[in-house]
Amino acid sequence: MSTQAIESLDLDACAREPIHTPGAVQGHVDLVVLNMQAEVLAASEGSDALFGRELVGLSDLRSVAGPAVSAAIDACLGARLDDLRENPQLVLAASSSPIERDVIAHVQGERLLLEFETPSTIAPPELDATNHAMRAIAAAADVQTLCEVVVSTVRAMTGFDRVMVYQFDADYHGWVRAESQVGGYEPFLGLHYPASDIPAQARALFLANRTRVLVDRDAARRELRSTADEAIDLTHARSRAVSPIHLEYLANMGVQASLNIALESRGRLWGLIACHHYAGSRHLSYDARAACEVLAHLVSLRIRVLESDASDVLERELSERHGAALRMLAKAETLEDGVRASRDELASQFDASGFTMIIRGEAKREGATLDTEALLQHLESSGESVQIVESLEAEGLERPTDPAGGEPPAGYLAVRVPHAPMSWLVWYRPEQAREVRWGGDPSKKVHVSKDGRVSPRKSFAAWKEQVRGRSAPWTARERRAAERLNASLSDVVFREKQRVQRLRQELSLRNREVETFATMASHDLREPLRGIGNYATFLREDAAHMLDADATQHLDRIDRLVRRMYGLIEGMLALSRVGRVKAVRYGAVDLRAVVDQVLVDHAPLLEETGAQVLVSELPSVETWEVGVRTVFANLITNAIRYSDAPPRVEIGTAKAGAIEGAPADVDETARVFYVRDAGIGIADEHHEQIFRIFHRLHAGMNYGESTGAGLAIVRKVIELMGGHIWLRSALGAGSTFAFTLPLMAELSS
Amino acid sequence: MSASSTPLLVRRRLLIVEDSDDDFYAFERAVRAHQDKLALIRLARGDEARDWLSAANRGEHRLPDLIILDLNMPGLNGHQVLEFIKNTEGLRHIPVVIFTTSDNPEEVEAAYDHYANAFQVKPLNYDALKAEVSSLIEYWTSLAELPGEREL
Repeated sequence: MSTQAIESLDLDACAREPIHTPGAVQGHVDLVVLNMQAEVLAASEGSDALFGRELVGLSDLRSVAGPAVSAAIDACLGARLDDLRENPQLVLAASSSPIERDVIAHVQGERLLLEFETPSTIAPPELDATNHAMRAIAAAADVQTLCEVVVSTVRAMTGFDRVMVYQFDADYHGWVRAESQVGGYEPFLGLHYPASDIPAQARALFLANRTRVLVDRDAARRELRSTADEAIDLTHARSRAVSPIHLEYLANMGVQASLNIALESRGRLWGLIACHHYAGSRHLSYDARAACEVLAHLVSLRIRVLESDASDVLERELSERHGAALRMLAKAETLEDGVRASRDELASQFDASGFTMIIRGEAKREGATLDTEALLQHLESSGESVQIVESLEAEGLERPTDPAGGEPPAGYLAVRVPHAPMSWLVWYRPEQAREVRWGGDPSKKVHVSKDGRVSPRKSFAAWKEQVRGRSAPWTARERRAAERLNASLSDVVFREKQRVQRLRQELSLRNREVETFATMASHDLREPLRGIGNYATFLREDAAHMLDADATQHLDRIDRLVRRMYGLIEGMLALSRVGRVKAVRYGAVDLRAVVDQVLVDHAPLLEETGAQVLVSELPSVETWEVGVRTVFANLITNAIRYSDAPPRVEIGTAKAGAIEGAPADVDETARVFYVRDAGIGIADEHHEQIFRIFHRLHAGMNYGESTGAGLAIVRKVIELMGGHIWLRSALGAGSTFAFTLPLMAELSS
Repeated sequence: MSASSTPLLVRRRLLIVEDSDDDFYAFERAVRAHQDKLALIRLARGDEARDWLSAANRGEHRLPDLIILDLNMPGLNGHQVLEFIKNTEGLRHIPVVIFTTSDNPEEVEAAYDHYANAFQVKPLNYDALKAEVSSLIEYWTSLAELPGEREL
């Protein structure tokens, strides 16, 4: 039989054990069960000694019970009937009864149960001590303090060797939250116990009957003898016999007597005040137990108030910080800035050790985080906007290691950023306390003895379990906070989107304005200029006979200035047109053919200057043909113009490293194209200025007409394509213009 | 020169739509050499041109043989006049030469999209203008066969 099978068998047996109808009571009590006519339906073994005769079957217990007991029975079946329903009370004290028993009565259905209890020899707590305990309990400011007050006061009130507050978690596993003990027993404080140690029907019974007493583990139980067909329901009988399995469990722990009082909060079993006694049996008086019950009731109320206060305060604070985070997010230019600014406020919502923001698939990490791609894939494959994982391993995700030596995450809580694709805010949690100290090895709960009987585990020394790869569970509150964040982010992101849209509109408006300006300039400035030029011509034609040499020269000057201004306007217009990105179209371009065409276009200039142009082999590339043609045309005509002797121009390609002066971000091995001349050269101080519009180094008509826009256009075109242009030159030593076109794909070389 | 000049059957009727007096003056001066072949009609506004052409289309006066059209005009601009001409039965056969300051590629494209027959940029200097106008007149009066030619 496998351990698993034994355990399930045992748990099953445990869960099925009808512990509210054990058919017996403990040894310090005689139980007599009457119907509403006081007929004896059942009585425990040995109860015949109470009144010196057999009780079961008696038609009226009052006929043999004597006046005191009979009067008590009359009251129970009369005036006190409703009061006693499922509510045991002392109806006759031993001191005022000839049989010297405390009679504790309660009504269950149509039965009156009378527990004839041997009086306790332990004095009940002083009223002052009880009052003091009550005040201390009322004054405790938080649940932990309350628990600590409880264990010490209850131990003082009851004299048990060990008193603990045992708290259940959501799954009814429990742990010892506070402990007070004398006698140097092994401490249980902080130990955990599996839920199966207190099975479901035992917990249910604790809610019905808050007090559970075991006076003496070794006292023989007294079986019920009954005329009734059905088992007697002993749910509310304080002296109900304890299950043999539980007795063995206690024996394993060396517990001789015990008292457990339930603590309840919001209708749920919150925990127990658990009292253990080792030195011998411990039989508390009815009054002492009643005092403990009242105290437990007060503690239950305080727990409920303290927990709800704490959660109210926390909730209020978190809500304020959530609001603050939203205000910061709304003010930020971008989502990323907003998240950074409100990071602490956002983090306050979650008990986390790490954080990653993933914006449009790109992670901004802090500390040890998961592989972004794997995480994203995991997150995106689920439609949920809030995702919670408590074990990465269980999700098939690899746990990272923190190079900084920090606690690596074991679980995460992820909140989707709405309206932004592949964007998440992810908080991490490390492994939960690496060790849980169990009271005994919970996996060896079952002990199989030689005769094959299953019994509870024997070892109660702390057993350490390494809980690997699991984070502490994310709470319902954290899930709510995540959902709230997801909902409010939707609004914030929307605002960011609007802002981007507005910026885009403004930009396109501005672009249009620039275009409109350029178009206007081309027409409105050129037209009057043309008029001026024309009238100068007409004057020369029509009034030639009246013009002397000076006047003719003045007319020539007008002509020249008109042409110059026209050139400036053309240049400005051309530059403004380059800026319009939509003009950029990529396609297969044979650069050699482009250069050849430029040379054909400028044949008159070449002829006039007697220029020699050497073109080495150039590749075919994927590029913007109009762009590169503009570049080559400008560089080649410049090279020809700015030469005193007959120009020599070389056009070719090389590695960037071969031409000095490349900007830092140009890779040395990148392909560059160059146009080299042996012309007048350019002094160092002008190397930057020449790329600015209308900046010309040479006055008037020296070196031919130029608008001063050529190199500005060249640079703009190259930058549009993502390239760089630079210049290697010195006065009198010629110039080499080199440029890269990194966006091109080479088709052949 | 104006629309009131005596029509000569042998002369081509050339309508020029041009808002700038200066540009018109230069143009007129440039076509003087071709006076014998041309009757020049000038309208200074786009809407004027549309009305005049509509009237001609109704038979109130003769249609032009060739239209020279500026693009940038206040009111109805050249593109709109062109569109009107090319969308109007009875007018659309008349060749239209766009004659403008702008060399904006988008304008050129738009003009051809509306079936302009030619697009010429006004040259800066008068000698160039004279040469251009000469070849224009030469082409449209001598070389090109125009609609209705055979009936003459």
